[in-house]
Amino acid sequence: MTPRFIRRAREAALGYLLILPAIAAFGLFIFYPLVKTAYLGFFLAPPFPNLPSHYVGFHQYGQILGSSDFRDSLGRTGLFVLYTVPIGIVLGLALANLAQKKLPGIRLFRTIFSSSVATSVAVASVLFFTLLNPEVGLLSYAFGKEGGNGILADPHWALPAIALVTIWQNIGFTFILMSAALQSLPEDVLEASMVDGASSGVRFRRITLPLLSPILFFAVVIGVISGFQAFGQIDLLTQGGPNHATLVLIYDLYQQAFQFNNPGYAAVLSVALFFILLVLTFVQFWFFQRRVSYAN
Amino acid sequence: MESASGVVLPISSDFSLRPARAAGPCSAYALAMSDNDFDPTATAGDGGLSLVRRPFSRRDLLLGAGAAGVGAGLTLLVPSVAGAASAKFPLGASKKSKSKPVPITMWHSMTSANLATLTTLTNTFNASQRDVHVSLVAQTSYGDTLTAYTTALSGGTSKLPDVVQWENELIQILIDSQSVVPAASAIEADHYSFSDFVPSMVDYFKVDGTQWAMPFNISSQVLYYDQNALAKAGLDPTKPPANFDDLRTAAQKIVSSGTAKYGMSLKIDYTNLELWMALGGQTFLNKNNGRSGRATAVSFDDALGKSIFNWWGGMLSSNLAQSTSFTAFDNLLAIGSGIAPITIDTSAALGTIIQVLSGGQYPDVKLGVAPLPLPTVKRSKKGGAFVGGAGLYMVKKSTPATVDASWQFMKFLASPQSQATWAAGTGYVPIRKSSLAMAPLAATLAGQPGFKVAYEQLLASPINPATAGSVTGAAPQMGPVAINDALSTLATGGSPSSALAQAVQNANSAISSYNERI
Repeated sequence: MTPRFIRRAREAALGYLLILPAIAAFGLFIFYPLVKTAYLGFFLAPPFPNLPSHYVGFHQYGQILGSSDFRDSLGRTGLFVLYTVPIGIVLGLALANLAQKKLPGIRLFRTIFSSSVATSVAVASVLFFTLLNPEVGLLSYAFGKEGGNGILADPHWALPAIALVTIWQNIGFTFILMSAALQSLPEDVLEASMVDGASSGVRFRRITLPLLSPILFFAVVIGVISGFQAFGQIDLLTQGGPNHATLVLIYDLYQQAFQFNNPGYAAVLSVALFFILLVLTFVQFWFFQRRVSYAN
Repeated sequence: MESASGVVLPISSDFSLRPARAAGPCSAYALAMSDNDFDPTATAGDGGLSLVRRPFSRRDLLLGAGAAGVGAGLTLLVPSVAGAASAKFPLGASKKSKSKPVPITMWHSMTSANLATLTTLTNTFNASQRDVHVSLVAQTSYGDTLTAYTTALSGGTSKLPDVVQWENELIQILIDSQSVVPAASAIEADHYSFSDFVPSMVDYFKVDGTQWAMPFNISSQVLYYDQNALAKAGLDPTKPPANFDDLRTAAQKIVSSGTAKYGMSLKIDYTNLELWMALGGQTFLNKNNGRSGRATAVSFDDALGKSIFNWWGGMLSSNLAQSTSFTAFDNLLAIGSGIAPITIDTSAALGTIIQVLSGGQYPDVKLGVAPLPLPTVKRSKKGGAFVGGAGLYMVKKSTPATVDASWQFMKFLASPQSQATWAAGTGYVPIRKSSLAMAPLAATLAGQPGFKVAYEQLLASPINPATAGSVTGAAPQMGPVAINDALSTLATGGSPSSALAQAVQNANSAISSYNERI
């Protein structure tokens, strides 16, 4: 028992004591529900919690995760992320780049570009619901699509339409993120490249983009996660329809839990969603760690 | 709540049938429209509330878990109340209670004009006697009621209401929850008579021979059309289409005369399919529509079902009808915009439609209301419509005094005078025959005979398993998802036979998935 050991032990004890509140809160509100959810997946759950459930072990996990319904909704979720994340980031970056120019009245444009950050998903959905409505919607008439199957009722266009709403709604956030990043770029590097005669295209590709990589990485991770969790716009616009065309994983989960009163099924889906996001986040970290430059 | 024109303003939850799915967009829509509307409060209340979902709160769960122990203790103390129909009903217990008035709560899903009328009725009841005091608790939509009820059940019975207003098509789930006292036990003890009731409205709530609920807010699907458009197309607006053939002929004339782009709107709504099966005298599910044993499969894949799918698909593929969304009221808007002058929707929408029209936004439209057209030229003797809407259930949680108090309140709401006030204030169909001649309903019907169409359609319904309507615990998945998906296939060019096959397969798998969990 060297004094050094005692000192270290005390330090460690203090450390644990200090993180105890956080551990307790996480344990109660994150880890406990997580374990409980995974456990619930072992049961064929009755529609009401006062009735007996039937233990089926991994059978339910196997059945649901191996079903084509699950594969399809996972595929749709992936497609939705593919629609929304790259386009959203490119648009946000482009707008931020434009708004960097020192022009008279540029503040007005900055306000407009970032304004959608102040709209809730409900507001965005109602706006597009009206615009896309086949009977009275402006967009429907603009494209000569009045009457008949609306865009949101068309299995081919419903998911892209939901993606459009999502991109529109997220663009304000991405714009602000990118603008902040652009403004914090070191001037000296950019000036040096200008002196060396680099064109604006080269400067953007070789200097700006690499310097922006941490924030791009952040935007991708956040975008993917929020893409997997997109719920409000789907609930308000299509409810997973038409014909399952917008039935993404999270909506499937909601339907099973709260409309079909099937908590066992929903538990399996949420465990799957947890692991998918976990793996995706690890992959993103692993992939970007080697390409993201935090040097400043 | 009568408007200037003597018409009522019902924006019922039932108007957004299957509200868990429907409430958001259609009320969102109402919000978006309210600029042109007359009474924005009527719609804003609906929309504002339904956009906010009640999350499943952890606090509820924890509190509920704590209460579970207490609840279990209580159950031991009052064992006799809870039983099935056979158990003795504690009639008169509220009158004999030592502490009066006996307080009870009722969960309901009514908004705007419907809520106002329900509140009036409740206040009248509370003031009329000293034994019972009712408190109303709003759950916004039937879907929210289901969610809240499920949550409350996870913590014993202490958080449950005493009376619950429950959507018709969810009846089997509530029965399966083993948490309600069948109305039959009270009816038997009280020698309560249904002779003044419209038979089909009572019969809907009978499953396996047991009367489970008291009918309360009742509606049915009807045909809406623009009389002016029909006249313009050379049709007699006083003789609206009465069957599938008539509808097709009318649609052809409307389109060929250039009156409108489409003859009619066909909403993607499984209710219409089910009603057409009932009107044709055929059941929708096996086991007598799930009323003599748990249904295990659908039965609409017969000749009648095929002919309905064929007609539906034919109307769409020949561009005589447009398909419209389940979650919005595009079919009704299409009458206003002149895109398609005929459609089918719930009678509970009538008050709102009249209100929109009286706003003067669509001066060319002259509304007509008619019974739902038949799927066959000849009327089936066994055929008839079943009811939409909701019933009132007594929850199996209470002491003898509160169970009796619940029954007293349900009787009050179903009384002829209450129903006359209720129907006039909401646009729902009265469940009592004698309500029709009473004020204020008599005046409403005289001013707007359209309100009587759904009533007469339900009155004409013979009593048999087909017209009783289907019951299955899988209802929330079977109708709005499995069958509507198949109708969606039809709407996007799929063949009627493949759409029917899809409907059968998905509905059956929804039913078996529910049955194996119970």
